[in-house]
Amino acid sequence: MDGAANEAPHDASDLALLRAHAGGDADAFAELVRRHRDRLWAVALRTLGDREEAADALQDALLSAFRAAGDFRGDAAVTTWLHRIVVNACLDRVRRRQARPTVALPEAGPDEPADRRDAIAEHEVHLAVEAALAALSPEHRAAVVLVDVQGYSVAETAAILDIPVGTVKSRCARARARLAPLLAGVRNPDTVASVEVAESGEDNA
Amino acid sequence: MTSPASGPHPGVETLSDLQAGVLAGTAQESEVSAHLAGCPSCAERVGLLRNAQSLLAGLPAPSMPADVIARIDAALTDAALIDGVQAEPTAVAVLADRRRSRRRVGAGAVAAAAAVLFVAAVGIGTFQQRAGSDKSATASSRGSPGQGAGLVPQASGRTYTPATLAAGVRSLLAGVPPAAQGFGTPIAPGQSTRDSAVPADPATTLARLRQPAALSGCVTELAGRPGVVPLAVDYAVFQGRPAAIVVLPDPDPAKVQAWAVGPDCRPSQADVLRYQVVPRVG
Repeated sequence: MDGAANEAPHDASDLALLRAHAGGDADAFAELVRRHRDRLWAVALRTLGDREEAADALQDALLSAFRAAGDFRGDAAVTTWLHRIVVNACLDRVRRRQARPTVALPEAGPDEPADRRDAIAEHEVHLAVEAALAALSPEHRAAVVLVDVQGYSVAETAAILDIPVGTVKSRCARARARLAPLLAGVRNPDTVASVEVAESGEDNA
Repeated sequence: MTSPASGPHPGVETLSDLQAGVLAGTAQESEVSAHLAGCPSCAERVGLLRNAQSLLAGLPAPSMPADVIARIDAALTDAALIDGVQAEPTAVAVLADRRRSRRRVGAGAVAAAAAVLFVAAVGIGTFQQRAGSDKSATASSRGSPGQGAGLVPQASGRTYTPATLAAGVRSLLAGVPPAAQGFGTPIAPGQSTRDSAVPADPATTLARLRQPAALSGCVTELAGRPGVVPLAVDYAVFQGRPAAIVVLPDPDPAKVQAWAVGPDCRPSQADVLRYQVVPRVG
């Protein structure tokens, strides 16, 4: 999982980059974006469920961060601050266009498993999960995307969303309660795949 | 432990609250736990909650697509030009480099970038000419023993500016000690320079950073992780301030990261005066 905890060593130099940018350095912000763009993209994509909307929201958010860097007070990690700006931009956008259906997201081509049938099955599972996420309220979706999809801790998520830890837990719990029946007939392809591998292994033995 | 379930079945929301720790420390927590222990159908619904969590965790982690990268890069570059963050006639190797990957750009931005590019090209050309003419005089000092894994820190005492940082870094990497400003001979670590043309003697002010351990702490801070070996280090002056020019590898093998840091660069305090990504070939 691509959690923020893995990136902790970046924190100090993230701050250095942000300070350098605020001091007029032309490259520092681009480097900061380069370090974190994939995770910020994933959060925007999963929160909005639409590629173009996610791109718009991320652009708005990063421009806003670019200009607000001088106001950063250092009371949170730079990544937390960036995530907060991105999530807020997504929530603004999703509130403006409530209840639009999720558009199917294209999955990466080069990483597609060689076995076409497995790939299709896996793709369908992902689409089902994305469709179920779209049924959640924006606030519940943001919380469960950060914790369950992106793997951030409850405490980090609370800092990103600027809400108490207890509220994060309760939003995640409500989101899972809503998702559980919607996804009752869907099974994790990883689990299925490993079973199949085990079976074929026995056949060969 | 499988006594028959007591009380009414809790709702799936309550079960989810229990799983998430929302009920921790409440009377309801023990009630629901007790019921769950003896109720297969509620245990099954907890299984569905876990299934949902597992499916969420199994969603692929997408990388930002190239078109979105290009678009955001362009928006940020335009914003920098509009906001005047790049007011100095400087970092234009970088601007030029970025322009290659940009898909769309305002006409104003192109004009501004072109104007800046011209100024910088003149500046870099001048510097390269000077460095070239001093090359023979300083060639004998190349390959002097260094600290650490093949790194040869220099102490040119040279004055770098935002405009000459890129070219200066490239000459460092080429093994040509920058010889401008009357500091033609690299200074041995610990030895002070006799020339006091700079406001603060860099050799003295930067004494701490000359210690391998202190330099290593600074480099770890800049790189964001330990174990990064700098490609070059030059104890010098940046815009009138004593500075270590630290050159680190960039994820893009065609580029390097140039950091100008002050004497206080250490873990959790980078003391960055300037940061620039520099193409290896100017």
